[in-house]
Amino acid sequence: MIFFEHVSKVFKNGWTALYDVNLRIKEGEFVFLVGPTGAGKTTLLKLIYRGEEVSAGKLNVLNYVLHNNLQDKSITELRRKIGIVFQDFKLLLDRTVYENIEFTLRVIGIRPNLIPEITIATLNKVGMANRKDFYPYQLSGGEQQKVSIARALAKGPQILLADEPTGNIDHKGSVDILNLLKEINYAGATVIMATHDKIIAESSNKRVIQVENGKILSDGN
Amino acid sequence: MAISYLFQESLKNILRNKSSFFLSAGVSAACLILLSIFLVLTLNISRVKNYIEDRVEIYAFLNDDANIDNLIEKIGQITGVKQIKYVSKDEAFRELRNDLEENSSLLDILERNPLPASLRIQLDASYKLATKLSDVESKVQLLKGIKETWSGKELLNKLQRYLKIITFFDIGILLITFLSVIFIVSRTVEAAIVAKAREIEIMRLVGASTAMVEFPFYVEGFLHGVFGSILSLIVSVIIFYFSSTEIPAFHLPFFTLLIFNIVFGGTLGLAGSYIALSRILQ
Repeated sequence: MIFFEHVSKVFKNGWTALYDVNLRIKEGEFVFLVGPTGAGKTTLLKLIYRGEEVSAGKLNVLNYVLHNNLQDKSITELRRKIGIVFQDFKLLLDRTVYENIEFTLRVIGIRPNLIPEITIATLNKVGMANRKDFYPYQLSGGEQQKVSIARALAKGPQILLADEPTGNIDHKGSVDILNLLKEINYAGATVIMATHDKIIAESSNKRVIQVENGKILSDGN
Repeated sequence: MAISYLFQESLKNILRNKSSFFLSAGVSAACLILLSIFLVLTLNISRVKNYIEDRVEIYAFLNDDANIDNLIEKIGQITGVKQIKYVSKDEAFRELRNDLEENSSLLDILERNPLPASLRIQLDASYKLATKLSDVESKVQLLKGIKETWSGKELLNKLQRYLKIITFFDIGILLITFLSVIFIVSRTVEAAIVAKAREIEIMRLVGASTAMVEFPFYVEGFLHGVFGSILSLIVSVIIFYFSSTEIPAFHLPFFTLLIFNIVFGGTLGLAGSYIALSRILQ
């Protein structure tokens, strides 16, 4: 499903964010990317959804060859198959919870008559249907992250990328988010979660890939 | 993707930035008003010039002893001459009487007909320019039996000169309008893009197509141009309405002006959006 083969990423200013990464992630896996801030976790996730381009090596995600020049249309298609969750939630503050989900579905071209049903069903999945008319600033950090997850889930992604999803949330909220991601994984989506919190990762009994200084230090359960 | 949703998004953008929208549309309108005034002026002068050109004739007044057949033959050989008509003294007097209409009784006090016989010389279309007209006229003047000639070339010359000057201004104003409207719209759309930076980021991350991201901004730019055009049209028509009472035979080509304003304004609006999107989103 995801193949990294000797992948490196060097930014224009000369900084090497990733160096000779070899990685294979199978369909339905739950993978933790663990490492300190600046280790290269976010860059690795960005390469997967083509937020950044590969500098060297080969990268294949969902059969999209990302180390070659990719047309806008292919990037769009790829991103529709990938859900992304961020540490800072990236919600639209002037729209309600419902409207945030509805917005995503509209802009990716879901038929308007299907949108209300999908939106409510997704909010039910993450336990936020009762907050559908709230604005993001009226919610706790954990709740905002659930809405962000709902937004990623609404389009039925094959891969869910979560970049420090518990970074801005208290312990209880973090546990809720982690459980939610596990449920999503159980339902069939491949989940890749980047975190600097080694304890969360190691206590989850899932595959943990340790990244440091742009290199993979270890990869195992 | 429902087009109606994209239009709704465009209108929301505009409503969110009402003041900048109206300000930029107002400035666009001011440029277009200036352009409309000059265009209508050009069209009117051009119409008068064409009207006069259509009726251009050389009047060659004859001496009493002139050999008419000989003159007609010689004038007919001059390049550019299309047709020659002889007008006798009596015919000329009758024409004058008709032209004077109710004042024609004034002619009754004359003891004799003072008007000379004449040849009215019509020219080919390509010879109706002031310079060519002058050439033919001077050749006619040299012929024996011709007392004097008249062609109205001075008036035609003046009109053609005015038309050249005003066309020069048209091009200048067209250029200024072109650059101003594009600049203003692109700046306004840029501000709208910056204001929606997070929304655009999310759209791109979830997999919205480029067209989906950019379409509302193109609509916004187009509406800027069209709104400015409509404003310009309203003001221009009011200006022309009041001017028309002062200028005889004034012609207002309303539909030409309407189509020109909307197409020109809309196109410039789209171009402004294109520049803004290229600068920021790329």
